[in-house]
Order: sequence, then structure tokens, then C-alpha cells
Amino acid sequence: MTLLSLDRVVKRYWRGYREIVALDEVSLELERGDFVAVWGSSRSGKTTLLRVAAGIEAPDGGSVTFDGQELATLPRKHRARLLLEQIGCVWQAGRITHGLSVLDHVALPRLKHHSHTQARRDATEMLERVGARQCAQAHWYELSDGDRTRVAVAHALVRRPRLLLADEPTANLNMIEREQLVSLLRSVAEDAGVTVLMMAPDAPELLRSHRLMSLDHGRLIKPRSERRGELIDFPARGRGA
Amino acid sequence: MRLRNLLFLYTRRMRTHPLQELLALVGIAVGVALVFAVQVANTSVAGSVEELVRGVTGSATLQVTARGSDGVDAAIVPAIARLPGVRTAAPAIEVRANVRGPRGVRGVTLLGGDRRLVALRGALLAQFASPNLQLHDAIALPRRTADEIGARVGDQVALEIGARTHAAPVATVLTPDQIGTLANNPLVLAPLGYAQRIAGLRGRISRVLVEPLPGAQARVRAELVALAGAYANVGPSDMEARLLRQATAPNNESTALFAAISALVGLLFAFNAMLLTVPERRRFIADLRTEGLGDSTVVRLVLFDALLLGLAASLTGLLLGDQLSRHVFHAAPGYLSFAFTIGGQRIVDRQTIAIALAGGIGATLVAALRPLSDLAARRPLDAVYRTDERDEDRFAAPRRLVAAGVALVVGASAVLLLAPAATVVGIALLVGAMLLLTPRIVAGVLSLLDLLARRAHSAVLLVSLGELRASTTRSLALAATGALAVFGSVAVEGAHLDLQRGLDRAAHQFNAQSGLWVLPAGTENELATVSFDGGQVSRALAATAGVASLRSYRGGFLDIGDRRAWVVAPPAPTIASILPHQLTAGDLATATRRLRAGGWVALSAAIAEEQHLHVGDRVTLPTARPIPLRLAAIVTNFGWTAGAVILTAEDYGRAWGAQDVSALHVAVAPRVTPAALVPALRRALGPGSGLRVETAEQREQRFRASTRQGLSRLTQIATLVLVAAALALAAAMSGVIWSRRPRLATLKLNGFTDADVWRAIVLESGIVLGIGCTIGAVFGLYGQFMLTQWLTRSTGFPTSYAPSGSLALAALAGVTLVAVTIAALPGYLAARVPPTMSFQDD
Amino acid sequence: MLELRDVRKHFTAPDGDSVRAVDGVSLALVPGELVALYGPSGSGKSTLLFLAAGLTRPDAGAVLFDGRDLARLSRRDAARHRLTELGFIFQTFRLVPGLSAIDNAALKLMAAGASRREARRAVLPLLERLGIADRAEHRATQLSVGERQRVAIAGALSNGPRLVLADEPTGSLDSRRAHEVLALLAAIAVERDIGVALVTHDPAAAAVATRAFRLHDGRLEPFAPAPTPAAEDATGGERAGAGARAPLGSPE
Repeated sequence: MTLLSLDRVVKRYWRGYREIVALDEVSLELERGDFVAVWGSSRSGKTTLLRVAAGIEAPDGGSVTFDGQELATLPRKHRARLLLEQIGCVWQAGRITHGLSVLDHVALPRLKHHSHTQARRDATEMLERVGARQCAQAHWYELSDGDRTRVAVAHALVRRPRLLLADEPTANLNMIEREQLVSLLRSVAEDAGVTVLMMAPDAPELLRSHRLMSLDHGRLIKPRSERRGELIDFPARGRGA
Repeated sequence: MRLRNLLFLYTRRMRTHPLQELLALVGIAVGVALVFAVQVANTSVAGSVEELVRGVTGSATLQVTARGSDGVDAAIVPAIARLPGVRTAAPAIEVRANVRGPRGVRGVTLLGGDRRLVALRGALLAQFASPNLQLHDAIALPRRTADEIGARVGDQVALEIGARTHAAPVATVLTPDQIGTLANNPLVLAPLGYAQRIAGLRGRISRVLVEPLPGAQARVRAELVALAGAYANVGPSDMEARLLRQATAPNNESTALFAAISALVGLLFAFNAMLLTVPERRRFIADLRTEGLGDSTVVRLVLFDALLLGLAASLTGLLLGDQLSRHVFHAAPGYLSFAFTIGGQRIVDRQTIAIALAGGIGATLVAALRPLSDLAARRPLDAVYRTDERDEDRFAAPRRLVAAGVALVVGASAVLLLAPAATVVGIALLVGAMLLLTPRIVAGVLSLLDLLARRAHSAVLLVSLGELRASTTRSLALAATGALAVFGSVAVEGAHLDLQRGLDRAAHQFNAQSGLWVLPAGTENELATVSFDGGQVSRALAATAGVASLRSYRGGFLDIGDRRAWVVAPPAPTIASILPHQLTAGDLATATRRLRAGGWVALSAAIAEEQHLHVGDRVTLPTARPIPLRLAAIVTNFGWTAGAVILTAEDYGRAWGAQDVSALHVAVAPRVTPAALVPALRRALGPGSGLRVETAEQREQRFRASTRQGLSRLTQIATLVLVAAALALAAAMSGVIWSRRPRLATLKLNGFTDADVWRAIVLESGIVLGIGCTIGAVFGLYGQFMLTQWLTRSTGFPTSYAPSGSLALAALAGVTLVAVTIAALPGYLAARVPPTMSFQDD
Repeated sequence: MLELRDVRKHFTAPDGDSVRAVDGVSLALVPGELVALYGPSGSGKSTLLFLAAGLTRPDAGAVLFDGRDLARLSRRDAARHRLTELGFIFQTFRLVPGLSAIDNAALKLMAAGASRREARRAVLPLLERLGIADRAEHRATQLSVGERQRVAIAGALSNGPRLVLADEPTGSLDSRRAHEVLALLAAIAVERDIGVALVTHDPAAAAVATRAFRLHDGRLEPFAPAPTPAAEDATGGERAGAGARAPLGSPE
């Protein structure tokens, strides 16, 4: 059952005096429990792809459909609710909500509909699950990159989302931490049935995903073989920018 | 989201930025306190008189008042009582007096009445309804008066009325439990007969209070006019309160102006303070939106946040303002007590509190709107994250602003020229113009400094300019606050100085003669309005060696319409010394000649306008024995807000039908110093005369002192605004500087020394404040001109205009230096930030 | 030029434990070399940089620059030292927002006494080399993150430091720019005979480094990171395949 589908999505924006095409007719379908990784260089549009998938930005062309509903037709309020309750995001900039402690930041998504004691309990539990329990009372700037990523994942998962979008969560992590993170994501996808779409700069962890694609200057390139689990032969990349 | 969760979120966030929230709170509180204190000061004066009026008149709605200080025949009372429609007619004695006790002397009003007055059930006299509280040849004092002179029940105190002193036993002291806040009023109560005797008014009364039967008001009034209108004033029983309101109007207007400026400054303080927190709030809101928390939740959170802060700040401000009004603004404007019985109580009414509260909360909400504007503009989130540093390069102010500013200046000038009575509006326009033009001026000065920096070797200057340009809104808010504070102080204090100079000159002209003065003692008799029998006294004085001649002066208060005017009636030869500089219409030489000849009168502008009189017209004054007069000239009000009437002492005698004088001037023989003559004159007067002897210099000094005291409120407020401004600015700047430490750390990492960084901080503060305060000073000078014009042409005060350059410089320098100095300390601490802080994330 | 002798530094972690960030590190850096430092995320590597800069004092051991013990310097002298001898490149740099790119880059020289004109003139070639000369007059707030990073780099190098300390300098840059910066640092190290110490995750840095280390348990050990398939070297060639070599050193 398709959870998220992008159909020929186009996204443009202006930088200075030039117009840049961030996404060039990207089409993508994700089903429940999929763990998909997209590889691409910087400035290839990875972050934009995630923002469009989350409904934070509207595409200039094409459509984005989540759970059968086209995001563009939804009123703001509904899109916001989707973001709060069904879609979890792990962004690259990696900050906590301004002014809150780590625990409160993780608890924030639950505050809308639950009491704060309940929310904090959920947050503690989630931090435990991702292996970052000791971060709960720490200051953000004291945390290592690995811990920060784990906290961000907890923050995304605490709302028990159906879709998890992650923007290069493995950047700044060493080998071991990357392993751990990818395992976690994989288990979340397979055990909890969460659809995971992850952007990644490097190859090794991509192999652990179910499917692998690359994004090159806004164009999504799917490998020639769509069969799962096969060792993917990397397509020849275009010349530099 | 649930309310409790909103509160929870708020408390969690508060912990991370407690200092900034505190600064915001303080800024708002200061603004609220200012507005509150000034309001209370205003309402207390009027309020205390109104209270007293109610307390005395009770259920009476009409009164008949004598026009002179010797009252009317008491036979009128039964005549009034017999009128159909009259339920009660209560006679009363009301004269100004001094009461002297072991610890001091106080100016009071002697109020005499009998059971008919008590029957009106006024709060003041309700005690005397019970038979065991009858006073027989004794007086009652309210608690405050008794405390001030140190009198207790059973003591004897000295009552000085006119030229006489009388020893009166104190039968009872009225406490607040019995009469509430009326216990603050300066009064002496006595039974009617006793009061008549000691006031020298046997068989006469000052006033009759009339309570008509229901529905008979108009009829009774008409009957009263028919009965007594020719020689007495018939009017509503709260006439006193109305007269006071009239008298305080200019004072109230100027204080209202001040209150408005204070409110604006308070608003700007609040705005400044909130600005500190705006970047954090914007980021917080952006984070919430990224979460998907929904617009309505965000709006609710922001408003809740602001409301809590506003409420806490306003309440703090009220407490602060309460203290201010108790300790700084507690004295009543002294000069008003010459003519009115003003108590010292502070009256805080609900309206004042409501205005202050609403103002504080309103300001917070307005300032909280800024972060919400991102929401309204549907700005994409990443733009918000980037803009916390970008902060609109809005120094390049649109031409519209400049054009609007210039237009407002022109408008203000037009108001000044064409409608001087509305000058207060003109000042508001001027303030608006100043605020609109500030961005352009600041931008201009920064460009100038930029040129300077081009040749400079100084990295410090460059860094300062860079920081200034970055946070436009904040810099502008700081500059505007400084400008406003300096403007208010320069304009009002400058006008105050002009007024003081004018009053001093008038005082000098009054007392120009050398020699000595003999007049009834008492601080309330500055204007020589209390009269005494001059015959015997004159003979005694004339017989003293060293006295060359005596001259009789007359004077008093006259109620003309809604005004309690001051009547000055000097002997004819001295008219020439009083008139110069005080004429606003008419020719000096002609007016002097005419007044001296007799049959002519000079009126102040307000009275002349109300009566539609021009120079040369016939005038009939509502005196006890109206005589035909013609208007010789229009003059200033000599410092008495309700207006002044000038005529010769001889004419006064005819018009009032009395031979009493209010002052005697003694010219000394040649080769005799006035001071040396004083003891001899005192001996000639005898002990217990109730009159005092003083030299002309002394009298002038006292005159000056009392006008100064009356106007001191203005200086108090001006100073307060400046001090509050400096403090709030320092707080705002410190907050900004402190939050900038990571950036300062980067500079230090690159090798800037502590001293360099500190210099950059101080320079930046100095530049922005210096610009703002200079703008305020320049506009303030024009404001001073406008205000003085208003005082002169609209309210008729004597003024002497001189642009207060030194005052402007002092205010400018004062605010800038004080604020920068105070902010220099946290600046120093911030400059010592460890360079490693630059590695911290925000 | 820079010498760390058996330096130790510990600090207290949030949960109260004492962490030995640097536990007996000795390192000597000579002009012309570029040293790359790898290691697990945590403040150990940054602490090492702080020590090298004289921003913190070691609990034990000594940090010497040209033979002078940095711990003995007064605040003033330390600032002077940073001004004249050091250049910092790091991720959380902050520019003065109201100044243009070139003015920001020129600040350091001006602090050292140059006039604004001279400083701007001196800094322009650096900006050109970093590819942002066309944005020189734009305000800092109008630049992208990558461009700001490069302004900061220009500023750091402007005063001709003898030691450049860089903490994740390529964090905000895309891989092409990142590589340009690394190449620039390497080139400058050789051209101007300066020492560069670089804390990084990027395996590409090892390619340009003279020596590479890893900070493990507070100690330095030689390290050669695995080149990843995504790594793009300066010649723009391609690498295919996922055949990753196992890293040296034992995982935790």
C-alpha cells in the first residue's frame, strides 16, 4: 500500500539572480515499511526533496500524495497536523527547539494532545530506545554529534509516525555510530512498519536499505534493477556542476 | 493545546532566558509606573477638593455665596428658609485662617456651622449629629491638621484670622475612622456663633447651603437669584470643585501632556525590552511551526506568553508607581491652596488603575505582534531562521517616512500659528514627526561615520558600525527612546524655566519698591487676599519713628463665572510699576494713565475672552456693590491660572463696599535701613496681632519660593523621565550586548583584546544613543518654543522665553553618558567572554 | 614550531564523571605540514585544538610555541599571539552581520593595525582564491552559509598566520568546495611554510595531509581513514564499487 508518492515533482528557487532547479520531475513511491536511501552530492536537492515530501514546501510542478491525499489540496491546518502526528523528520541542521531542554524538546510533539507528564514519559522511553537516555538532562552543546543525531531520531519517533524522513543523519558520525544508526532505522522500518526515507552522502550504509537511488542535480535516478536486496551497480555520474 | 501545557511550555522556556524576560518586565513596569504616578498626582488634587465639598454640602444642591470676605447679612437665612420649595437652609462661615500649635502653624479654612448644616448629612459633620458631641466655644480639628501643629484634645491653639489672633481650645480631634480621608483636609470646625465671633463676622455669614424639595430645584434657584442675586453668587453647591477644576486646567493639561509623553516613553521602554526577546521568540515560533504545531496553537502560545508577561509587568509597575506617587509626587501644588482647601490625601481611583494596567498589557501585546508577523506573512521557515541576523536592512527608510515627518513638522507649526489653544496637539504632531524622521537621520549619520571609517585604522569603529547596522529595529528603538525622553524633558523643563522667569519678573514688579510690608501671616496669604481692619494698625505704624509713609493695598478672590480670579488692587501711584511686560493688549502709557485715574480695570486674557470684552469696553464685575468700569488693558494672569483683575485700591473699596485692607506698605525714611525698622514695627503692632512684618526682599523671596514649589512637579516629572530613560536604555543595551557574546568570542578568537571589544561595545552604544538624544534635544528646543507660546498666548501666563541651550545639552549628555556608563559594566564583563564560547552553538 | 609535551586535560561530563579528553598527548608540528585529526565525536579533538591555541591550559604537560610556554602568557599577550600567529577556521564562526564580506575578512588585519584600505587590498586575493571575490561587497547577511564559511577562512588566513587550526572547516560546504578548501590549505601550508592542524571527519583530508592521527581514549595514534566510494578527488575522476577497506585500529 503506497504511503507516499511523488509524481513528477518540480521545485525551483532563486539564488541571487539565478534560478536553480532543485527537483527536476522527481517521481517516487514508498510503501509501508520501506527503507529507502537516496544518495546524492551536496546541492543535489536532497533537502528540498525531503521538505517537499513532508509538505513543508509546495512543489512548483507535479504532486505529492500522502496516504492517498494530495498535500497541495489539504488546508494548512491538516498539513500541520500531518507533520505533527504522522511524519517525523530528522534534519541535517540538527537543533533542538529553541529554549527547551533535550527532554522537553523530545516531548514537544506529544504536548498537543497529552498531559505534560505523559509526554515526558514518552520522551524518556523513546530516548531509551534510541540509546540516548543519558542525554535527557544534558545541554545541547555538550552533546556529541552521535548523541545529537540520536536525540533527533527520538524526537522524530516519539510521535509514532508512519513516515520518517532523515536528511543525512549519518554525516559527522564515525563508522560505529553509523552502523548503529542504520540498524536502528532498519529495525524501525521492519519491526514498527515505519516507512523510512533517508538521504545519505556515503555508500556503505546505503547497502543496508531496501532500495537505493541517487539524486543528481534534481534528477532522481533509480538503479536499473528494481529488485530488492541486490548489490547495486552505481550509475556513472555526470560531469561536475 | 491544553492550557496547562501552554503554561508548562512557558515555564520551561523562561528558564533558559530569565535575564531577558526580567529586563522586559522591568522595562514595561517602569513605563506603567510613570503613567500611574502622574495620573494619581493629577486626580488627587481635584479628588480631595471634591471629597471635601461632598463632605460638607451633603444633600444640599444649591448655595448662596457672599462676594466679599465680610460675608452677607445673616438675616437672609430665614428669608431663604421661608421660600417655597426649600427643605433646609443652612448657614455657614468660611474664612481663611492660620492655626498655630506647639509644633507649627498651618493654613486652614475655618468652617462654622450649626445643626442645620449637620442636618445636610455631609460626611464631615455627621459626627455632630449626636448631642454629646456639641462644641461650645471650642473647635474640632481633623487628625492630620492636629498632628501637623502638634495639638491634642484639650490644648489651646492660636487662630489667626485677618489681623487678629484668638486662643481656641481643641474639643475633639476627628480621626479617619470617623470621617475617612477627609481627616487629611486642612480645616478647623467650630460652632456657628463661635466662628462668627472669632472671625469678626457677627451677624454675618459666608454662605448658605440650600436643599430644595424634590423637583423644586429650578424654581428654588430662580427664587434665590431674585432674592440675593444682586449682591451674592447663586450657584450649585459643588461650585468649589468646579472652580478648582478651572484653576487646575492648565496644570492638568500640561501634566496630561507629560503623562502622554511618559506613556509614550513607557511604551517605548516596553517595546525596547520586548525587542530583546524577539529573536528568541521568532526562532521558537519557527521551531514550533516546523514541528507542525499549527497556527492557532502558535498564536495562542504567543499571546498567552505576552499576556502573562504583560500582567506581571503591569502589576509590578502599579506597585512601583504607587511608591512613586507616595514619596515623590505627594505634595499638592502649593499655589492652588491659596484659594482652595486642598487636602493631602492620595486618591487612586479605578480609572487610573485601569488605564495603567491596560497600557502595560497593551504595550506588551503590541510588541509581541512582531514575531507573529512571520506567521501572518506565511514566511517560509528557513527564511525566518536566516533572518534572525538579517533583520531587515531598513535603515534605507522609504521616502514616504521622511515626507510624512516633514509634513508633521509643518502641521505642528501651523497649529502653533493658527490655533494656539491646541498647541498640545501640535506637540503630539512634533513628537510624531521626530519619530518618523529618526530612521533617516540615523542612516545619514551612519553613512557619515562610514566615510570616517574609510580612512580609519580602527577596527573598533568598523565593528561598532557593523553591529549597529545589523540590528536595525533595535538600534532605532534605542535611538527613539532616547530622543523621546530628551525631547520631553527639554520641552517641558524649558517651558517651565521660561514660566519661572516670567513669574519671577512679575514678582519683582510687584515688590519693586523697597521698604517693608505688613500683612496677615500665613503661607496661604502669599497673594495678599486676606483682609483686615487697617485703621488702628495704620495709626500705630505711622507713629513709629523711621516710617516715612504708609500705603494701603487691597486684594482678594472674586468668583467670575467658573473662575476664582485674583484681584490685585494697589494704590494708584504704584500701578505704573506693575504693568510693564504684562500687557497683551492695549498701550502701556494709556493704560497706566487710565488705571491711575480710576474707573478703569485691567483683566487677564481668559476673563476678557469669556466676557467678550475689548479694550475700552464697559465692564461690570460681580462684586458686592457693582460699579461701572471700563477695560483699560488686557494683561497676563500674573501666575494665577484662573485669571487676574487689576484696579486701584480706591475702586476696590467702592466696589466691595469695604474699607478693609489686605496689606500695608511702609516706606522708610532716608538713611534708615528697612531691616532695622522691623523690630520697632513689630512692637508697634503688639503681640498677638496676627500680622507679620517683612522687607520687600523677603516678600519677593517668599513669592518666588511659592511659585517654584507649585511648579516643582514639572521638574520632578522631567527628571524622573530622564532617569527612567537612562536606566531602561542601559538595561536594554546590556541585554543586547550580553546575548551577543558568542559573536564577541569570535572576535576575541581572532585576536581582538578585551579592551578592543569593550571599546567597540561602548562606542556602539554611544553612537546610537548620542544620535537619538541629539535628535530629541533639537526637536525639544522647538517643542519648548511651542509650549512657551502656548503658556503665554493660550493660558495667559507671564513668560520670558529663552531657548534653553544648556538644558538641552545637559539632558542630551546626561542620558547618553549615564546609560552608556551603566551599560559599560556588563559590556566589560561581556568583553571578557572566553574565546572558546565561539565554538558553542546557539 | 608547535610542540605538545605529554599534555593532559580532563573535564567533567554532564553526568558527573570525569572524562579524560586528552591524556598524555605529545605532538610536534613543523612548518609546512598539514596534520589531520580524526576521532569519535566528542570534545576531545576540539580540546586538543584549544590547547594548541593556548585557549585553555593543560592540567599537566606543556604547550610550546616557538619554545614559549603558552600557559605563561597574559590575556593580552595571548590575544596578541592569536592575532599575529594563529588562524582559526571552525564551523560555528560568526561574522559581523552589518559588514560586507571583504570588511569582515579585513577585520583581523585592521585589529593588527593596518588601515582599512590596506587591509581590504590585502584580503582581496584570498577572496579570489576562495571564489567569492564577486560577493565581496555584499553584506554578510546576504551570503549563503558556504560563502560565509569562505569569508571566515579568508579572514583567518589574512594575517599570514604561522599556525592554522581548523575544526571541521568543510562542514558547511559541498564536496567540491570542501575539496577546494582542503587543497588551498595544503597549498598554503607549503607555499607559506605554515603549520596546519585540521580536525575533521572527511576522509578526503587524509589525502592532502602530511600526517593523520586519531584521538582515541585521549591518546593519539596514527590513522589512515578508508577512502569511501563517494569521495571525489581533485582530479574529478570517478570511483565505483563499494569495496571498502576495513579501517585500521580496533573498533570500540
